[in-house]
Amino acid sequence: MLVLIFKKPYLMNNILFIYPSWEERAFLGFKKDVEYYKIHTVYIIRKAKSLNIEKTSFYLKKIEEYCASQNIQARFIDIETNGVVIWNILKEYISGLNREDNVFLDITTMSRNIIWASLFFFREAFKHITILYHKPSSYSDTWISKEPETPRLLFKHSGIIELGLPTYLIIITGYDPERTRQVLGYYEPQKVFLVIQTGDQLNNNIKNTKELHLSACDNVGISDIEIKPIDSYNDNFGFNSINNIIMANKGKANFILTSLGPKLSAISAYQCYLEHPEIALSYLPCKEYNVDYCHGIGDCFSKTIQFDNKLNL
Amino acid sequence: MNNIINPFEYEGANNLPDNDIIGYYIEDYNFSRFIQSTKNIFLIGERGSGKTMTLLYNSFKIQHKIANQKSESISFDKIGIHVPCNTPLFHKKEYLLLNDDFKKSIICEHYLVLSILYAIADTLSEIPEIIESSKSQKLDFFSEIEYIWGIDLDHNAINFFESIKRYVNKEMIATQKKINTYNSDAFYENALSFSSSIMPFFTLIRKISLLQSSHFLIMIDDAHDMNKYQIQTLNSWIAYRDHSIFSFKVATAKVNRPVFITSTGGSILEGHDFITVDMERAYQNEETDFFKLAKKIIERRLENIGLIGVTAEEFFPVNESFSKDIEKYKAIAKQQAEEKYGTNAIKSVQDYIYKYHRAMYFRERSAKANKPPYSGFETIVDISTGIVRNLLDPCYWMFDNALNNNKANVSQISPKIQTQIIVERSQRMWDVLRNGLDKIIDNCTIEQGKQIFQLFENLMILFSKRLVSDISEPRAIVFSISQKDTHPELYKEIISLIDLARKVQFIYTRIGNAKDKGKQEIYYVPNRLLFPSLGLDPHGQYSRVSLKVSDIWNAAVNNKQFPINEETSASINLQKTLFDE
Repeated sequence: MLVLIFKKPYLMNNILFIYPSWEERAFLGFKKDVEYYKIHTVYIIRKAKSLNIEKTSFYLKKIEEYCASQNIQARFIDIETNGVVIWNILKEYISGLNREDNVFLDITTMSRNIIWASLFFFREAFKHITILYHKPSSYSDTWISKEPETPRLLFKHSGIIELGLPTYLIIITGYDPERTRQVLGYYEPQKVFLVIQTGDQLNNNIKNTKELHLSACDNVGISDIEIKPIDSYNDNFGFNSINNIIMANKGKANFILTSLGPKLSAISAYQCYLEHPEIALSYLPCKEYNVDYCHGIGDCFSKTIQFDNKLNL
Repeated sequence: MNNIINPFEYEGANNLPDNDIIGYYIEDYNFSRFIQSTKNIFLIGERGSGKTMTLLYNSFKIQHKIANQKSESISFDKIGIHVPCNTPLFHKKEYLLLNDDFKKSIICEHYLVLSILYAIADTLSEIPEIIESSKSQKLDFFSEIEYIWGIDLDHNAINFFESIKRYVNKEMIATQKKINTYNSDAFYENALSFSSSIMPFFTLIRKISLLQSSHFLIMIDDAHDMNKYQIQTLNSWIAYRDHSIFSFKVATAKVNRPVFITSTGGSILEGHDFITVDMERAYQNEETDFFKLAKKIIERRLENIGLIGVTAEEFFPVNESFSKDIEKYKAIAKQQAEEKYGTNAIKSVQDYIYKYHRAMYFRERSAKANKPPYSGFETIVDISTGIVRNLLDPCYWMFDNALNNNKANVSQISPKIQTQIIVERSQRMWDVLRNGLDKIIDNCTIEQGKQIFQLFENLMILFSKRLVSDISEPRAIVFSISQKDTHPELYKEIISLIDLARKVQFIYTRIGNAKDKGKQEIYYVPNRLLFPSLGLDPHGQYSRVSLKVSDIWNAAVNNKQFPINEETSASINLQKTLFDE
């Protein structure tokens, strides 16, 4: 007797990766994502000793409850502070995904090392993913972050360093000039490019000025400083602004690129890395963020990116 | 003076062109004799203390240039090779992904070895005499090293050393590409070691007739940026007892100074395997080496903008009324001392004047609202706390301010501008402290940031109260810690706080004689730029305040003021005293 075995067709799932924080938009953004993109499974990255743990736990619980009420699968990816452990856990989860799933990566409250490590592993397994980002509606006027740790080069993204060349540091600046000072003091580059977000949104023209960042460069022992504009909210997340700096100086220096400014610039920074794998990506973890540092939820940005060995925005 | 440049601009030594290093470096009062010895040396000092400048100046590249500029012949006995570690290469962390400790060690040594090889080849490739000497010999250096290392060199390079540089960079790129691949355990199989690559390379290049008796000074700069495997490897090399061919000069920060453990678990010993040289200098008066060095640094920089023959004291004049007041209080102190000791007790009278005349001035001032006029070259050296970078910083801003007022000519900095800048820079330091050091330094908690601020604030209250008290050492602004053994846990936490403050140069450490004869003790020196914004005297005196662990703890944690008593003061011997007979 002939038995015909039909392979059950795999139903493509829409899966979402999030890393919720204490911010209001962690939940509001998640809710928008799952409703709009008909998410089937949510991978929720959570850290054992999370920052502002009370509020973070509150939003984690809300997300879990919402998933239960909407019949959405919630899977937790538990990470800790050790960078090696984070790296290996993300690798394990992402490499275990079904390659036919549709992946959405919500970077709204995700730290840069997690974004970049995830992109590294997604790139290996998927042809494309969709990046989602929700702006806040406002930022607070008080301090943003405290207790910084040492700046670090990301595993596997530390560039191809050539001996005998000077170090050029590209800093996409943010609202905290102390962070600018810290990375400068740590890497002590021969030249620095301060790449500053344009526009007056969220008081950017007051909190992220050339003068503030130049003042942070005081007494660090670096006088070769160039200021460049970037618009991380444009169609390519400001890629051209960073890429132009690298292209104009290619071969002259070893580059370290760090994104301390708009979150979307982390994506354009990664694209620059893929275009120029000789550059190094650096991130700056902090132990303490102001629990009130931003409020509400604003515009949403989404972009599907193709992986053909590099990100195509 | 059109298009005047600010002569006090501070640029990290690694960023300076060779000619600026030659132009700015002051050979006297520095440590060239240590660097040029065949001993292993650790140069320790915080940022800005001149470690890199000292190593670069003593590198063979620079020494060769100096000899050329002076049309002198150069000796090839000592070849200084500068190996910078604050490069992205030394910040790479992929080795942590490897499970095998041995593999971690191999990869880390490989990067270090490649960096040293490159630095040797780069140095020698720039010396025409060595290139000529190698070409004129019958020995085929290309074939020799290809045979020893089992590699193929690029024979099209312009000389042997350039081909070595190309080979090293090719290896470097190949290693990083392999290590950065997807697999976490990616490893480079052809890693080089010191014994398999650098040792035979030294043996070979010493066959060049000019280098036959050369000793190579391998100058590892910013060693605190090396990872633990590289430090252990370096220590193993330092433990190598034969110093005939090479020695190491290791420059490192004091805080987070590398450990002394070797790869095999042994340790290197001070005095036996290496000597430590502290780059931070005690400073108390114009007789000290640091004062003389500071004066030369400033005058050299003035010469560079055409102010030849202008002394540092002329360029930074003292406020006239301050000078007069100081003289007035010297006379008052002298009168008091002579009444107390008699006119024949010359030493006692001098001692009394030294201790009290400035205190009298500041006591009087403290009753008034205005801050004292902080001016004069000596004051600028005072607030530097013995650190070159701290010396140049206020000078830069003073010059900048003077230039804004008079774009055509800056022939001196008025006392008014000096006072304004010193107080501003001082206030800036306090702003940073008040906002919390946790905002600016790694691994400092909010609580620790607050405690450090409270500690400094209470130290300043203590120093200001001492200044107006009738005690024997009213101007002491240095302290030591007592009763460490009574409260070992508290002491440990206090040292953690002080180490955090040291990281950002709010406080420095010095070694001096303890009360117990023959013993050495650590003294803590708050950055003297902290004093002017509070109207205090940054000049200090040869004395330290002995503070109990419990009092320091209370000041930092409970924001409690230090008690004042006569017993807490003692004279110290940071350097030769003024009144030695």
